[in-house]
Amino acid sequence: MTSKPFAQLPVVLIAVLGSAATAQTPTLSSGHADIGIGFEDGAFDLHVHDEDTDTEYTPSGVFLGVGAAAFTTTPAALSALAPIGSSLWVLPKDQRPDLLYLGFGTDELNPADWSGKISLTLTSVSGPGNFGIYDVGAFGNIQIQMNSADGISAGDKLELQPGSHGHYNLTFTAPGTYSIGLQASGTHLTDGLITSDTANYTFTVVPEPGTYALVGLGLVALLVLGPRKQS
Amino acid sequence: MRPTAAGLLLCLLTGWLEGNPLEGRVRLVTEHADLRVVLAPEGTNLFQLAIRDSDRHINHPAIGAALMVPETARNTIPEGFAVLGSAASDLWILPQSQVPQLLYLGASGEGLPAGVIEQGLSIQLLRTEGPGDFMVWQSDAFEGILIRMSTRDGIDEADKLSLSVGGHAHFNWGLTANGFVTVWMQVQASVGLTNAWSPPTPILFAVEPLPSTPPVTPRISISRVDPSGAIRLVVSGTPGANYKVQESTNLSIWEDVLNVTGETATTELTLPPSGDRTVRFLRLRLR
Repeated sequence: MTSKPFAQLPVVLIAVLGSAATAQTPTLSSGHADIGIGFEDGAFDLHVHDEDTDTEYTPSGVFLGVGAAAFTTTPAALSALAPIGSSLWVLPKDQRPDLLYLGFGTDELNPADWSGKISLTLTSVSGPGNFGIYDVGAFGNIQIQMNSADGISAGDKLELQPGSHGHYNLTFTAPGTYSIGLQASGTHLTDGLITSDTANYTFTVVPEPGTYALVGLGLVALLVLGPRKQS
Repeated sequence: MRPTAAGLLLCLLTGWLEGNPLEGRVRLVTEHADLRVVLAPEGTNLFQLAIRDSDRHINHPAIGAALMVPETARNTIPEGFAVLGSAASDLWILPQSQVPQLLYLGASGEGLPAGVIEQGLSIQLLRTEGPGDFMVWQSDAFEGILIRMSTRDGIDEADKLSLSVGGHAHFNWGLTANGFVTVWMQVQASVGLTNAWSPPTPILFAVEPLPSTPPVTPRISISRVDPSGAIRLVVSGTPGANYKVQESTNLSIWEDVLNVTGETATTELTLPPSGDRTVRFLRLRLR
């Protein structure tokens, strides 16, 4: 059987790049965007709002990019999300020019119409790793709002004040494409308890820069040496 | 020639001082606000520092807004946080994580055009006026407590918030005593080969509980001018309040000339002669 070790590389290359957006689906990888919760015709409207261009997308109409600059290693404080020292991608709650600044907005909801807070609950995670959301208190105390690493339950949620807007740290434990299912619920003063359908948001997590270097070296080797031929 | 009493033009700016510091200001109590760097090339300085109501997209001039810190913001410093203060002591905190009943305060370099600022955009702490200490820090899962500003160890060039052009960050804002605390800040950045600044800008934090009795609007008046040119002044205000009399010849540059702490509502004091000045503008300020 002919050995073609380098023939595997194009497959690897395609797999690595396979998470890139299609030509039809835009990807937001920088600037300010929000996962937005609106309310229309008696139902929640979950969407993505690009705050910089004032463009609204359906959850399936846009990819949310997590760039290589998000790569880090898991510190002890976040050991509940991933093993200490393991790879971790973090979209931070503070804005950085080289990363997507993703928030959660209930700005469209009138606080006078709602009793209590709006819950945004994690319903599913599909992807190569785990997904989490955390915040840090004034005295450094870690507050984990969502964490698929310990299973998904009703406790995996954000509690959002109607008419507000907030930012959190989002984490991913492996590169690739994730589908994150979220569901909104809240008590409308007129219509009672309202629960949305699950909205699936697509996150594309770019590998750490070293991965691209390895793939690039392999591709160069393939071009220089060519596939081996068995004599 | 020594100016005569008749020839001396005295202008008393009695309305200059904040009777109630909150008077005429928008009070920001909850929701999202930012200290926002604004480009102001039409004026003397390239930058201004505004207070932005980020939910309503309104920039207020710093003197037109007050950042309210209610009693629900009061915390007790736990053991192991000596960098913030002694364990069990009070610390009012506007947190870097949004809490519905508190102001969610950040700092913003958003809206600045690209290519203007070369590097080093920051908001520098200059000084504070009022009771207690003032601190700004960030809590991070990777680096722990990161102090950005603190008056506890004095103020130097390290007391600043570094921003990126187009960036936005949130912080924990800590005050160790209740009352009115004015924090003077200044935007700094490198533009081309030069440094550029905003004017020193007063940011008012109103930490509750506030003085229960609104301060009496202070007044300064002249009882007489001596032949020597010395001026007998009468200052009326809140007993126990600390004021200072400032003097200027041009209404632009002011210098402190007298401190006043009135044990009663009315205090008499003497302003020495000022040489050949024929115009003396005087005003009263809280210390």
